[in-house]
Amino acid sequence: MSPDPRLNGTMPLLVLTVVADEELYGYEIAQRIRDRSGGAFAPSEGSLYPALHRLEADGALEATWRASDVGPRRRYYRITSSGRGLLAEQRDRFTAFVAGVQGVTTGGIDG
Amino acid sequence: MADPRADRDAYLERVASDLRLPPASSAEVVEELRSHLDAAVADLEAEGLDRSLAEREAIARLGDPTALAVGIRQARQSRRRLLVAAGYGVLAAVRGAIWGYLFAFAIVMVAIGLSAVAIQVLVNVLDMEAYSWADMSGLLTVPYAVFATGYAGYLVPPVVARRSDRRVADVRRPIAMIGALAVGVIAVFGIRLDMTTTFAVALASMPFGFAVGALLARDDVAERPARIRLDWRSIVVVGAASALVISLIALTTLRPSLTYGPGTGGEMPTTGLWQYPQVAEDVMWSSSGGTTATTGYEMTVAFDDTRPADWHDLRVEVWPSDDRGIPTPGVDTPILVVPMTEVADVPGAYEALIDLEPATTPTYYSLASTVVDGSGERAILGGPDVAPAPAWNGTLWEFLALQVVR
Repeated sequence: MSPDPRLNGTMPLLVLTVVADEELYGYEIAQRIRDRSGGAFAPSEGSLYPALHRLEADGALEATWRASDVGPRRRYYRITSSGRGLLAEQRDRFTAFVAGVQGVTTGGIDG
Repeated sequence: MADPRADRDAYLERVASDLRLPPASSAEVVEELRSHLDAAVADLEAEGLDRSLAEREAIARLGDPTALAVGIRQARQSRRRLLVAAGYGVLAAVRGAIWGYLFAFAIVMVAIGLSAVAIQVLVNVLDMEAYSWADMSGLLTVPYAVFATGYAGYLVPPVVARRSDRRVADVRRPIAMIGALAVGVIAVFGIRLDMTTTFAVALASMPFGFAVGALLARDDVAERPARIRLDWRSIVVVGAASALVISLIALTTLRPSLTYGPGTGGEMPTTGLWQYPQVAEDVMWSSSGGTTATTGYEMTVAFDDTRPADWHDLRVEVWPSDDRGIPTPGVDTPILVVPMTEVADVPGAYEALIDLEPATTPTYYSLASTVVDGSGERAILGGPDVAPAPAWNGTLWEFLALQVVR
């Protein structure tokens, strides 16, 4: 499955959503997004890490290194209280966007 | 058989070189991507791909290494982070200016002590006299200015780099330029003081001091000194070097220690103020410095009953002189003459207010109260008083404009 470029704008929303439930490292975050979409789309891993670092720089995520059982240490991301606020805001915006698109597309069809 | 991890290493090397982050940050990012590739390759192998195909697929999913590096760098070096770092940079500049000033103070104290000993030995050996320390002390403002701004500039780049996740090498030059401009504006337009040529040099050196300090900044400079720790060796070495410079400058100002003056004997010139005999009558005279509002000096003369009745034309004459009050030889006319007027309700008392031009270099005058006696000869009452010209007060910009006008 090729990366879907339409996900780039919603990457922060997707990342914050999956990390809100538990601490995850970068590869796990990509896997979780793909699994929760039911395989409908896969995030571009090349845009995942810039999104992670930007959310960390903005204070929405905190990162810590942890030793791994199966190899070198991994960098785990945890959502902050500021991140939860940002997540709620992004969800509302996305919901309004989807409702607006639905309104346009269903209202334009005859019958 | 080629090592399947060679592509991965080459890819991560390319990312590392394009990241342009501080070394520690760059190493962290590369380590994170390496662990991502480990996990991705393991999953792809579990799905049935062979090792080399799995490596290539995992790398392909990360995309172009330059685009990835640029994206991560832009994410970490956000504008908000830079603004916060700039604020810390200003605090570091203030801290550096204070420490630099204290360091210069320690050096200057050593320099003054050593040079005072050296100069005293010289004047005793040569039977000469050195220029007034009060005027030479203006030279010391230059090291104060240079050290304070130089150390301020030295501290700012590592602080800004650390706080904004940038390399010191990438921020040195912009900080040197912006800082020099800001310091220059403050030095030229914002500081108003009793300006002399030496102070003007000190103010003008401040932006250069900051720029040089910023360009010399290193990655490993601590943001905050852990404790006061004076490097005694460098203070003594720099202090001794400064003492040598001050002593050499003082040598050029040595002059004979002979004191001229009416009544002191010896060979004296016969022109200018020297042509007047001194009248050592029972007169009282006093002079005092004026305020900056009037920029003037006030002289008073009080006569008792023994004053000859034929004395007239009482006035104050201002003659150029040195700091000891010795009038400049060869000057035959005073630069200013102010008639003295009787003080109301105080019989026998006379006064004059002398308005002297402010000067930007050390300038001295002899203020002599003179009178014409019955034979028509002019004489000096008492001894001339030495008066320094009032200091010229203004900003460096106004001072420079004055030089152009002159």
